[in-house]
Amino acid sequence: MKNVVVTKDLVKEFGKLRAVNRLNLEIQKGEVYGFIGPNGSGKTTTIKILCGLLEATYGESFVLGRRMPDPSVYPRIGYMPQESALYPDLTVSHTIGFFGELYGLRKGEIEKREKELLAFVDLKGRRRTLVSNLSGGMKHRLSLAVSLIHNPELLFLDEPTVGIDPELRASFWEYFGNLTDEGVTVLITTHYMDEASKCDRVGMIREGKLVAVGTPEELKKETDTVSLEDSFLHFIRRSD
Amino acid sequence: MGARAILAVTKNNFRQLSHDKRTVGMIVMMPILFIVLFGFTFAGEPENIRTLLVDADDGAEVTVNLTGLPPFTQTITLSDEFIDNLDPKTFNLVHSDDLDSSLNEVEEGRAWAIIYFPPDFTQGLLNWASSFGNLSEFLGINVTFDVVPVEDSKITVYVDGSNSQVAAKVIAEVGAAFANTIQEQSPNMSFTAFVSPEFVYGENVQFIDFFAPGIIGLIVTMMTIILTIVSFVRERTNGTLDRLFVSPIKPYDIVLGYTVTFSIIALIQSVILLVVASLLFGVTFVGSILLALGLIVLYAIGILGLGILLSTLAKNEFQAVQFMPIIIIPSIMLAGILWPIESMPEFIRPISAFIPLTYLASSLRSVMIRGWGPIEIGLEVAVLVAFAVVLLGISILIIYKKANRLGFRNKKKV
Ligand SMILES: Nc1ncnc2c1ncn2[C@@H]1O[C@H](COP(=O)(O)OP(=O)(O)OP(=O)(O)O)[C@@H](O)[C@H]1O
Ligand SMILES: [Mg+2]
Repeated sequence: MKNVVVTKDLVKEFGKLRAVNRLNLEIQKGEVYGFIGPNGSGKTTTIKILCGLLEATYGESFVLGRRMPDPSVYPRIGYMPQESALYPDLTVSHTIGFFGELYGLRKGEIEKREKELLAFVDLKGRRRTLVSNLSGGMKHRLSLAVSLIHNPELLFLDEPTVGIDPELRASFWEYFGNLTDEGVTVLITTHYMDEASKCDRVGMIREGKLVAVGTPEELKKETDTVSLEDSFLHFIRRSD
Repeated sequence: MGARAILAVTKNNFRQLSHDKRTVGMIVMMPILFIVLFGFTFAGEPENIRTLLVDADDGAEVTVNLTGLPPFTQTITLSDEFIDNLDPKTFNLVHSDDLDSSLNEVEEGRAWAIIYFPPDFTQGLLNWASSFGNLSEFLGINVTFDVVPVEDSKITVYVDGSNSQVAAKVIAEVGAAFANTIQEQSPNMSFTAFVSPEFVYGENVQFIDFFAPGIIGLIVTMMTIILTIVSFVRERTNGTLDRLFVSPIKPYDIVLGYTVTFSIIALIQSVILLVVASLLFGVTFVGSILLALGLIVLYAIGILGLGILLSTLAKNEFQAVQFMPIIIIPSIMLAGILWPIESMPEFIRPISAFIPLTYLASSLRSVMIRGWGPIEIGLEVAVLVAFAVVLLGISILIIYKKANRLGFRNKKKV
């Protein structure tokens, strides 16, 4: 299998703080890779490096075969930041429209994608609502829709399901499953263990270091636990 | 991409604005409010200046020779003629008999000035006029006149100089009245001793005409810098800038999209400013309106670059607004918009050369009052172009740096 994301001894320092510490990731094409770890363990920082938003202090990272930062991968990747990054004074429809235009989509394509995506994130009836008037969860849903607008082949989703109600969360995971069937790769961070167990593979990070990688089954087996949550706690404690 | 991307950013900016009524209101109302305020507070020349007249003129005796009549002696007093020629709008004249008590009034601040005619005023004036030749022509009747030497015949203006504008006005108006008096007396005599101003430009130009171009520039500076700093800081703190960076749009297209947006806004504001200035205050405008608008937009582009630069130094909108005075105050003081650069101390003048508003104000003034074209203001235009190119260039570089697109590679070793 081909690796679409690779990091080699990736290090990111903020002054004296090492947010990412010799991280080695390998993410394969077509998988949902769950990136889990305690608050401040370096998940967001890693994603930002992979998206070219931050420069690594040491080490290298490759995305779709390109050494990052490299803008040539941008048409092919989708990025959903942890905070729903949207323009508050724009309507839902204009938000989709603007980002569609940035990716060079034609008017007809944008309209088609808008229909599909707003149906998916259940915001169909909100086309003319201003972003500032959406609820927190709705903003998050719109933010996810925006990162999907151009049918990217690689998705970086930083906690996409925070504040989303259970029914929608279930449909999100179904959707991610469908995407990977089409060959899309998804890197997703989450604090929900039930979600992590739906991933094809899980990477556990602590203080910027990868402490375990494997399918949820492998990880549970290795620690001899029944739930991924217990397994996670086990790995985290062991690394102390 | 290119044009499409720029257009997308511009359209996006205007769509956001259309939902932000307060900002739209500020964009439209601020220029009106400012120009009206400046217009009313600065436009007026000093008027109705309380001035005491002490007329001690004894007049002078001349012998009038009229045909068919025996010559007779008559006293003429030219101070009256002179007083009639004092501009009634400028002066609030109060007659007084006594110089000492008048001086008291000025000292106590109850009057701004005293115009004092000495007893020998007419005598001295006639002595002087006859030295030029024909006094009959000067007075318009056939007279004979004896020159009686006098000691002091000059008009004295005692003036409270604590308000230099009032003092300057009083002195200028007294001079004007004197010139008029002589001129009226002798339309045919040519007195080479007088200065007669011939205006090359701007015959009816008032103070407001001088400062209106600068004020227009100042308002555009303020608005453009506020809007740019706030927009960019907001893009960054919202996280939308990161989203743009991870999209195919080129960072310079982002900057150019904003440039188009704020150029259009600056254009709208300039139109408002020019319309209000000319309708409400009758500001002189003899040059090309298109050229004037072009200058303002060119200048706004440079300011936008400066705004982007400053926005990268600020963590949030609150910090961003603190940059405002750093830009605005030197522009007000040193760009020659309210008082000419020539009136500043010599060591300060070089600083003015580094303030872009200096060049906008002077070129805009040349276009509005002198009706100059692009060739005549070429130097200023060149400076404004350089200013825009450099600042916009730097700001584009900074955005590229922030987007990690400058191509510097990180160190490889661990
Ligand atoms: N710009 C920054 N400057 C300084 N320190 C930073 C910066 N960004 C992140 N950090 C630090 O780096 C560490 C990792 O942060 P990061 O946001 O990557 O964590 P995370 O795993 O995403 O956490 P969470 O689950 O809370 O989202 C934290 O200690 C954080 O304080
Ligand atoms: Mg995070």
